[in-house]
Amino acid sequence: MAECRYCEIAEKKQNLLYEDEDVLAVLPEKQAAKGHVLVAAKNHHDNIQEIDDNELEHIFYTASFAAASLFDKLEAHGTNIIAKTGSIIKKGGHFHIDVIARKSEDGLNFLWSPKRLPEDEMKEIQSKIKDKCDMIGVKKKKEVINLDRKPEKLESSEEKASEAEAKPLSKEGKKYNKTEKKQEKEDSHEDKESYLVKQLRRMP
Amino acid sequence: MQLSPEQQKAIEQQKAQCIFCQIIDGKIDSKKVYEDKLLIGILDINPASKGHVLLMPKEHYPIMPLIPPETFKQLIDKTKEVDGCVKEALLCKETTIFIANGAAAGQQSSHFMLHIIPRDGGDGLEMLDISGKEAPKEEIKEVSAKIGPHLNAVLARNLPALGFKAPAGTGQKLTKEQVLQLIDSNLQIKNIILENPEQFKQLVPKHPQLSQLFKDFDLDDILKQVRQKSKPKKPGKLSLDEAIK
Ligand SMILES: [Zn+2]
Ligand SMILES: [Zn+2]
Repeated sequence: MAECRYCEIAEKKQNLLYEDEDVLAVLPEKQAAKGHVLVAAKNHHDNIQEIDDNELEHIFYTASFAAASLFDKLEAHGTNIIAKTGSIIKKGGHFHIDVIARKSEDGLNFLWSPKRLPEDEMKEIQSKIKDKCDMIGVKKKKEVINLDRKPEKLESSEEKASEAEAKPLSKEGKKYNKTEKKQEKEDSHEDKESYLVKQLRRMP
Repeated sequence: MQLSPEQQKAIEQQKAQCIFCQIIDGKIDSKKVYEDKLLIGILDINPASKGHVLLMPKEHYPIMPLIPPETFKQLIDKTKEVDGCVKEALLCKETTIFIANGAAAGQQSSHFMLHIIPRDGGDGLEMLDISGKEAPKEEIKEVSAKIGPHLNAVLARNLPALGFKAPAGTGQKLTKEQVLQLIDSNLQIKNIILENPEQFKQLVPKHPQLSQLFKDFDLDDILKQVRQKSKPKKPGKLSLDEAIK
């Protein structure tokens, strides 16, 4: 596994900021700006489509909170969140997101020069993509039918099961973390407030 | 997240000016490719490349932290699916997902959105292939010290509530004092420990959060200290306390 850059990071814990079962966050040695966090999946995937919903949400939430940390603690004026979805294998097999602190006039530019495509070409692209997207819901329904169960019942029972699983955990989580929460509550409230107020002011 | 009336008002004003809100309301034409209860996906009329899709919540959220969990999760799940559709439709293997938070990062509209940008070798979009400069070790240390503890605290607090596995607890180790404080503030746990310590000792290994909490400590020692701390107070003091109340 030593050949994999990300597994090596996870092993050596070099410049590691955060780690849990699915996700790690590090400061890469090559920083695109002062305050460049790399959030990566711990598991290997060939492309983003292979990642479970839950795992992908977990990774993106981590990136979003990393952006908030850069904003609050490094006084970033904004952040970019950028990820490649396909060539993960070439890059070492881990889906990863670059979270980059931005300041006004920092000299960086990730923005493209906008293209203009002829109207009929735009229409053609739209209908091609839309045709595929129209299948997003349909595929799922088919899967449910294949299971030979009534869709509504399956969905609701699944929902209930996951609710039942989630409830005791979150309840207890609240209990045991009470003091922690109390201690951090004011702090976090302020953090969120300041983040929000500052960001709203910077809106175009 | 609760917004103050002023913030709410500011967002209402943004909404009234927002092109994307008007697109979502059907007042302005767009090239829609995806829609569900919470999200809409349209082609960018000034694309970075052919098939550039903007996926966004239908509700006007100026910044990412304002997006409620249900919508955020849906946005991420559907990013994956719409991204897959873009790849299939255009026979391309690579896309870049791009988000700008704040004007300094190039956010051009106050309506939060996520870009799905199809990529191809030599497409002139190399600025999206992030590469940095070797940073001085002191700088990495400084940034790490500034954001590391904050990020860990924020994730430890938020991820479990959002339904994700609790963090492993790196950099979040509690001291013995903190564990004792934690127990002291939690009447339910405290009572079990005081009334039935043996039962509590059996409970710990079966319970992931409890076993995590106590894994670095001698449980017997902790229990002993909890009992010592809560020794019944002298009657005189108790009545004094009550008198003060
Ligand atoms: Zn690896
Ligand atoms: Zn809007």
